[in-house]
Amino acid sequence: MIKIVVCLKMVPGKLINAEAGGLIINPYDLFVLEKLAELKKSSDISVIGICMGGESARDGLIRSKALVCDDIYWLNDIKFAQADTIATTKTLTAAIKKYIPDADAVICGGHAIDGETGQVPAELSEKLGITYFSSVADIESFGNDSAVIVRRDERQEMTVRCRYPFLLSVDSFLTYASNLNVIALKRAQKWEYKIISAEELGIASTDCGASGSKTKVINSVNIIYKKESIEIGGSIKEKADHVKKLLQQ
Amino acid sequence: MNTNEEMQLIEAVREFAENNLNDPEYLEKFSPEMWKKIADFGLLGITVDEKYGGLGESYHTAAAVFENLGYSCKNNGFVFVVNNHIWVSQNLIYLYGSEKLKDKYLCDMTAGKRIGAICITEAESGSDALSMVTKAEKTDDGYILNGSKAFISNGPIADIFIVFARTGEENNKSFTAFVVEKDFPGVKIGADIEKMGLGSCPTSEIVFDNCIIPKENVLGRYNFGSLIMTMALEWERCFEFVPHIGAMRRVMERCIEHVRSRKQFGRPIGDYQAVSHKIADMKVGIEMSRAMLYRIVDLKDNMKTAFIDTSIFKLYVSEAYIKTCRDAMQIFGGYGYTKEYDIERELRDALACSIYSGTNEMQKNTIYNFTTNGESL
Ligand SMILES: Cc1cc2nc3c(=O)[nH]c(=O)nc-3n(C[C@H](O)[C@H](O)[C@H](O)COP(=O)(O)OP(=O)(O)OC[C@H]3O[C@@H](n4cnc5c(N)ncnc54)[C@H](O)[C@@H]3O)c2cc1C
Repeated sequence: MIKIVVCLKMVPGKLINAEAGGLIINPYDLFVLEKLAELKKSSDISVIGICMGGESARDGLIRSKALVCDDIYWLNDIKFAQADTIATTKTLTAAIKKYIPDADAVICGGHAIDGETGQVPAELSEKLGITYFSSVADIESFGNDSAVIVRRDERQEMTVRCRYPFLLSVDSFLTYASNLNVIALKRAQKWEYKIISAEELGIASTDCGASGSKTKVINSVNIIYKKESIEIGGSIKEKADHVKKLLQQ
Repeated sequence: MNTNEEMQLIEAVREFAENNLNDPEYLEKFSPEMWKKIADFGLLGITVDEKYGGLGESYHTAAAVFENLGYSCKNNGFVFVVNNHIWVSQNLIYLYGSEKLKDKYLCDMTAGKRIGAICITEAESGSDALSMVTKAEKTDDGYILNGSKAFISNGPIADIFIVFARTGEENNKSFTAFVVEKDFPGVKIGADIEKMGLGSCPTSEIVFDNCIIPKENVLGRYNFGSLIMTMALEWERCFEFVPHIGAMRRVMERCIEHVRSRKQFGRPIGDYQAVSHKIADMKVGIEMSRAMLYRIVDLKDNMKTAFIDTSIFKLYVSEAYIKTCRDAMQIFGGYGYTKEYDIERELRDALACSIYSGTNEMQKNTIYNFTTNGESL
């Protein structure tokens, strides 16, 4: 059985839907989960989620479990809070080394939409000492000793066979997972999530959270670009004609 | 108040419905693909025990979930298909069927492999359901069923019918409910009847011509059919109407958007009381329906009867739903009367609910009789 670790981050739902409250699975991570749920139907893989986050991550973890995860390690300790990319990487590395040292593949979403830098995947591969594949657009299959992935950048698309162990940074995203099923959701609600503290993980508090971070966010403001807007009324046809006229202009 | 678990289910259902059940091509015809999707999604066995592939949820949770299905799935006909399958077919086997019947049918039904329907109405017996003439005669191995049933929702797509038939001459004690498979000898399915609304829920006549039913396919007990029918109607009058509350919410939200953006005489039309009061009425309809609903599901979760409560609920929700859609059309003016705005379809779909599950006049008869017999709610 191929053992796959998925790094999961929960991000504010309002970044996707202005009316949504709470946290949702980062859309890049959701793509990975959905892909793995598809591939799990035909390949012998086990999927282990790993998430650093507080209590508000619970709903997202339940969904991750319902979608595909066989097991989840939830790094939930106030000491992990306010971690920069380095502290996050150290924490995730410690968890993977301690709990899933025999992982064949580690998969991360390429970005977290709440303003992360996209650095964690590369740093993590470095710390784990495994091959790093960036710009992954798709995962095609998992074989016994390697997996087939598709990498895509502005210039080309490559289908690549990668030998285990490796780390993928996936640049595709989803906002809706069609493999979610309410029976699995219900089971996932009843599942007992393993909560792992800094102490249990055996990581020094100077290596994680705010104290382990080299950078500190002093201030953050949302920049909203205000554009002039006009309201288009009338029937759908009138609206379409209006839009067509504007495009022609 | 919904629990966190219920909220997760609700969110999942809303996302699922919005992404999978609103294909405009299937607003007026049944979609087997959509049926497969909802079956794979696992919703069909919502209150059925996990042993039969269900979720084992409470009626409270089912109510919250189905209100939201009605809200997020604008295909009212498809929701009607799902409701007929769950509440007046599968649910009856689950609650009143023998172990043998449950083993035989439930797993397939919760998995959506077999679709259910209920057959009470006949050409000459509608409101007066107990005047039915469909008859089942006992034989050594089972029963022989003869007669025909009219207006059967899901008829053309169903695999399993809950059929009520006369099994003796004594009035209220002479009916039996049977589980009849579409492939039993002597079952003939009529063609899809064109209706003014709910186009995606196929409807037909079902004829039983010397149909052979095995002994074990009696639902409940022999000659206890009128009791089963009473209970079936109780479930139907509650749960078939739950999604209508969601549909009312959906229509109301569209109206709110319209009264804010549509300007006449230099002001949004929502500024005029004649318009805004219609929306206030919609909101009252939704909230009152919900209050009644949760009282009923609490009774059902405590295994109590709610016959009169469901009659009142059915009557109230259907009137409120029809008024909401009628008022929506008025609020949208000429646009509402066009196909493009889709309000006319909402109204066409809604109108049927004062007829099915017992007409609203019949509900008033029931409520009057109950009330004047001195029983209190
Ligand atoms: C969309 C739709 C789906 C349906 N699905 C099913 C189904 O799946 N299975 C099934 O078995 N049936 C189904 N029906 C049938 C439905 O239950 C009947 O149409 C309903 O019970 C009324 O019977 P009827 O049409 O024969 O009307 P009638 O009974 O002939 O009534 C005609 C009118 O007379 C009034 N009336 C009759 N008697 C009285 C009285 N005593 N007091 C006051 N007023 C009275 C009625 O209220 C009505 O206004 C469906 C109907 C519709 C419209």
